[in-house]
Amino acid sequence: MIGLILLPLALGLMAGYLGLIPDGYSLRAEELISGVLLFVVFAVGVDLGRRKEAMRELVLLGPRAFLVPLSVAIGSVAGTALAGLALGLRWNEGAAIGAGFGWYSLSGVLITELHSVRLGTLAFLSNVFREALSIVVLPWVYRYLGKLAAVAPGGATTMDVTLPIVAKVAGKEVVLVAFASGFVLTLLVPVLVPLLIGIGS
Amino acid sequence: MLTIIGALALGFILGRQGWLGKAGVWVGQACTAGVVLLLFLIGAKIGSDAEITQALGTLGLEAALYAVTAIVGSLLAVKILERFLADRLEKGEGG
Repeated sequence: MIGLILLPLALGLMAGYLGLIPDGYSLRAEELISGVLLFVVFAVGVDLGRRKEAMRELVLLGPRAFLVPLSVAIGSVAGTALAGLALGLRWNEGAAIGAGFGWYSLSGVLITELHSVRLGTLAFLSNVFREALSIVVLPWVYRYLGKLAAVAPGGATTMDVTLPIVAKVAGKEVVLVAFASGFVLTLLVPVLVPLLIGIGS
Repeated sequence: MLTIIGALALGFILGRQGWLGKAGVWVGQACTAGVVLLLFLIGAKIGSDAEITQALGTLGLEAALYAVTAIVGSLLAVKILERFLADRLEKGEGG
């Protein structure tokens, strides 16, 4: 399972970096990824529909399912706020980086606009890393920390890009919780990032 | 975002009603192939992005540290939540 996750990701990274991918790819990447993603999400849906126990899982959790994204938000922001302090930033600057929750395009642009190019680039890169790293660590997170924890690393991306990967690793039962979590976190990014940057100015 | 929900819902309904027949079984396997392709495409997108690879040298390490602390922080928080929920369920206060 781990190889199935890491190998294609590593091959893609290398192929992209070494220029083995056709020139226009980076322009078309978004559309291509969206297309494949839609198919995979559809497939996840079919599988989910065939297993009746998946719905029971979500009903059992009920409104508590929304406590998951809340925890992910608090944990991410607290983690990067501490890292920021350790690296000589103000707490809110570090916190704003974490409040990207893996949505690198928006958090990078927002922080560049509202703060500085340096902090924006840092937010962009670190949220790219978060997406990639969340995929890489997922098999271990699931094995040692369990199903619900597998929803956490991906942050906002568990609503789309990493949703099928969470489903593949942690099981279809967590798909709905993962989607709900990613959805709530996605909504939080454009609210929290400006708020945190604003606190310091 | 709406298209994602739409695709998930459409698949869910087709799967639940069994309208896909035997094709429904293949879908699980097609899903794995799709995930592998998706991972490759994500990797290639990051690897071929000049903006990312150029900034890596100067800010890469710092950015990686933020990514790691965000992930570790979120994992800790979810584990704490899980313990809290388990305690409440045991005491029969859930709902």
